Amino acid sequence: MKYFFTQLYKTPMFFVFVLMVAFYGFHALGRTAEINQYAVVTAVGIDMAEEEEGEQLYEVTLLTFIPVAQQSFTESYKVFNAKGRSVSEAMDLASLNIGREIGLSHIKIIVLSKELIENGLHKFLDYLSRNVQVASSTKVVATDSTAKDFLTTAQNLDNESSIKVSEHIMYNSEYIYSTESSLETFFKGTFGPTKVGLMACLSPKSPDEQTMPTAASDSQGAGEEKSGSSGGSGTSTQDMITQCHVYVFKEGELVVTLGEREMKKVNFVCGDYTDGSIQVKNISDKHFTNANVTFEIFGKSMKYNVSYQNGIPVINIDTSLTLRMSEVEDETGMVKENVELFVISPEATKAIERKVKQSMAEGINTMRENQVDIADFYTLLYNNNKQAFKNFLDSLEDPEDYLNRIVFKIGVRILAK
Amino acid sequence: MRVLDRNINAWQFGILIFILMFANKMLVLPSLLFEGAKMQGFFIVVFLFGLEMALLGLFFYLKKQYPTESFAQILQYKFKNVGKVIFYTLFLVFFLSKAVLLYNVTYIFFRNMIYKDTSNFLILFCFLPIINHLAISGLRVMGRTAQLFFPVMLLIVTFCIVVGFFGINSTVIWFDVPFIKILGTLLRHIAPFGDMLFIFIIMDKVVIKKGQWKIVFSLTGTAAVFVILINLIYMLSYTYTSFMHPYAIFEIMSFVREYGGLGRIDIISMIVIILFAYFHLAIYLKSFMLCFEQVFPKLNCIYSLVTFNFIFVIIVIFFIINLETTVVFGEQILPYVIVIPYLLLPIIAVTCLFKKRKKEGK
Repeated sequence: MKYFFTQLYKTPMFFVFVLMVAFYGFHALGRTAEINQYAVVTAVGIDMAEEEEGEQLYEVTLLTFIPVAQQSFTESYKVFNAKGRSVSEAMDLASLNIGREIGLSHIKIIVLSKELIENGLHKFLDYLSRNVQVASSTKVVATDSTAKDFLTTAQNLDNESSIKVSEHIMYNSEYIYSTESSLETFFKGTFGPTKVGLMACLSPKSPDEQTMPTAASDSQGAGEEKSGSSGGSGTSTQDMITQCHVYVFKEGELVVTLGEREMKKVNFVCGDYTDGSIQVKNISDKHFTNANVTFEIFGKSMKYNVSYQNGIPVINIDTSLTLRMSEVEDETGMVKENVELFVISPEATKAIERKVKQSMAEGINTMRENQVDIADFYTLLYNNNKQAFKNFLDSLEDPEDYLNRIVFKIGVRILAK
Repeated sequence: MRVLDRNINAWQFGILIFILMFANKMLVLPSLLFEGAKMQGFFIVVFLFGLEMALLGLFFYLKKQYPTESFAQILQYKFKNVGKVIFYTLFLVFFLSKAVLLYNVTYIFFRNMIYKDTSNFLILFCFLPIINHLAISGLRVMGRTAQLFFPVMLLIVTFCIVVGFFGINSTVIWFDVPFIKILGTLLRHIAPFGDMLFIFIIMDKVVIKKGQWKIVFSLTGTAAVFVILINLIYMLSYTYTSFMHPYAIFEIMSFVREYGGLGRIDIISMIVIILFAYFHLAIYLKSFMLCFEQVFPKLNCIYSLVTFNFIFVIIVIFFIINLETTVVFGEQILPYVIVIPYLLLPIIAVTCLFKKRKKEGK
């Protein structure tokens, strides 16, 4: 024993360790438990509120999970909101309303109202981009309703069916009809050379689209909204959240709104998808007569080649699509063909090629008309031949309008699965 | 108090250099380089590591010429005692400044990313006793401890790099920044480099047998490649939003966690940041002590320890407490200190080599 203590005495680091444990261990034990200190916010909504004393107010709505020790496994969420002259101030006031510090580390989605977006986006996102607690993968969406109504609907959905609002756009990047919509992708686009950022728009509505949620009356400017309670947004169990369109921003300003079909055409050019379908009408071959056939996309590969003709860039977009027939509406009735063994006829292949080419051309036109380089051709051209691209830009009256001067050649190859 | 400064072998020497190569280069630097020179920031790192390797080459030749002498002795032969004291005073400032920069970046990282209530005192209390103990224990103990942790550090850094490759999904513009701007960024952010000065300070304590130099060069080269890869992966992962993510190695893992859904693997990078920070600070303190010994030869090493701790604590508590001040310190003050390893040191070394050869020739 004596030897043991002698060795301890010769080990100064042991005393440092004991000192640290004694000091910080007891200090930690004496602190308030973190579950009593923080309100875990999983979604943030930002709306424009009315002016007060000539100053514009902003309303922040927080879908909040307050940790409470209980035996059941259900997570109960509540919606809190507060108004302030800036997003930071509104957050602080919301924190006062909840009676806890707001923890933003678990935010999964940020919802912005359309009114807010139309008034310039960058000043609202600035708070969130500077906040180190907010992960860059946080989804950011717009809503054509108010963010407050949206989150109240989201709360009801979660309570009734465990559908989390963040899951609505979890797989957006995989589908041809929409786009990935996170803080990171939005800022990457906005701060990139094209200055174009995309944001998905979600809409809270009932399936029959009759009763849109009404704005919550909140005379005090702050308070708690309970699901199904009076003073809430008047939502019912019929509520659902649907994806409606994609907002395209240039330098933080809303430029154009693209519907699902338009987005699909643009995505054909960008190649940002892994899943989707193509409908081709009036195909007649040995299998069908004037049939409307739907093909599911199984795989795609895209190649962009750049060349210059008389100083004008020519971009060759070669697309290969692997398709599988998934649905047929034939005039003559049911088709007696095994889907697995089905071979797409040359006539059908040509029809699909025409359809895809047309879609891609329309997608390019959408980008040209609105001067939004969603596919980032700028980087492609710059990295291909820096000097030639610079000369080309210099030759333009409006360098921002470069998309209209580029020649696109589209090649489509269809393969059957 | 007695400092046991026994000699270190090639492996220990190489591992200490390996660790030191990461100092101040894997958290804030890649973000600042991208901000200044976009993707060309990558070439700045490559170039500056080239200079570090050149310094190692210079050390190799110097060590061949003066196998048993210390750098202080060489300086004394050539520049008399006054010259030696002046140079070593500059070295003192260099190591203290580097320690301050490193500590602040690490502290701010922990405060912002892990636990916002972390006080400076708490982190100081965790770091200072251990780095002091490592420095007092001597180079061999430090080297052997580093040898013990080296496989863990190597494994984690390799893991971070391999996993980081999965996060790269951006196309980015190359060569869009004028050369003068790249040069300006290089000079502004040169402060995290120049750590090779350390090997000259411990010159007489390194015993490298014949054929073992390749160990040193391999470990140094591996570290350089790793840091370059961390910079490249980070820049290709975050591209235009890198200014929002100032903690490179942690952010690389965060990116993969957030988009790849691989759980909280970013915590793994924290382990290596902690381990590196301990060794970096200990190496800086040890170098400070060795320089102090040369400037004030009559004073006991306890004075050097107290001096370092006192000045270090004063600076980190009263002058540098946030990332902005740290960046200003690193960008505006430290670049002048870097003149020492990148200009002064090569001149001294080449002069010594040249004079020695001339003498031998005669």
